[in-house]
Amino acid sequence: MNLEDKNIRKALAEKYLSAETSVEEERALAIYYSDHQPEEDEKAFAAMVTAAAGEWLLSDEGAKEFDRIASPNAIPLKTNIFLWAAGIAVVAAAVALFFILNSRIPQEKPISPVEIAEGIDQLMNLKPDDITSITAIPQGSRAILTAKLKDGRECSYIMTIEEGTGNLSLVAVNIED
Amino acid sequence: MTREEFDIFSGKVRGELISVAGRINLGDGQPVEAEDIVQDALVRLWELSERGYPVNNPKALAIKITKNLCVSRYRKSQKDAIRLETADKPGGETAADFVEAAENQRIKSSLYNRLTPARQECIILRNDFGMSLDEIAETTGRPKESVKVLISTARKQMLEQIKEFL
Repeated sequence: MNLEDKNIRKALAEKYLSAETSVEEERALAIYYSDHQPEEDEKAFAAMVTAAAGEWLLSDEGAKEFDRIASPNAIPLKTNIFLWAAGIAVVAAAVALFFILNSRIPQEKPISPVEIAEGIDQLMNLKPDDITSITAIPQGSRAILTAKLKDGRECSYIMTIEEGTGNLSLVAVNIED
Repeated sequence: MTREEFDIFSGKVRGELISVAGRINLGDGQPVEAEDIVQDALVRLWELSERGYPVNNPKALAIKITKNLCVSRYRKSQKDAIRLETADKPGGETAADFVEAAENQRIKSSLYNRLTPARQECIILRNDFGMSLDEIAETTGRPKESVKVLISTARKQMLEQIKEFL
């Protein structure tokens, strides 16, 4: 949806007045007009859209925008070829780390069900609206958490608990596109 | 959800919501006022519940509202920063722009106040909460087609009023 195109804006304006626009289209219109000077014939409409604009408390796009703003370096779920390459490298590193840790630290405290539950809870909070289920496989002092997303994709994480501090960490090892 | 259940729920999730809100900063290194945003988010969640919105997963909904409030606050801070940067520059925005921003809320109230209660209710649920037509229909108990007509009529009425202002 290219709102720089006046024809698209005009078409959306008509849909807006007929209450046929989606919430996200209305949000996009309000953001556009708050950032751009409207043309003469659009002034009244732009004024109404920006004045009436709320906070779209239930907007999915807004929640996704939060994730982009809050974690600009986070790996997005929709990956491109470069991120795939990075993902494969991370998987390789994680597998290597797994074997190294397994060989050097033979007696580790096994991860507890309570800790796993905490990990699942934290993972749920990363994408509360996108995740439909999470499976956990305990492996010694770690657990592999696999989140199934609404669109059918799966994301896997290695969950570890830092000894001493008890801090929980989740490392993404596979983000399926 | 009863008020008591809501209070217990709020106590449980407040810390987590503050942690979510604390993840964003306003561009100048200032974190958003996380506690204020969370308080606002919880109030809005209660309002939704009170209005009859189906709150199936209150925690997920509270997180979503918190995120949207953060984004709204972030966008506002970005715009304010641009205003400050350009205020004294030739061609930049003038004091009138500041007044205009402050006036938006007053204009909005003025426009809303002239609507019939039914139109006003639908417009608030749509614009402020971002509900879909189906959700508004479910929340208000009106048929979806009636909701659509109420919103459309309200918008056309507001547009005519704005044209009188300009």
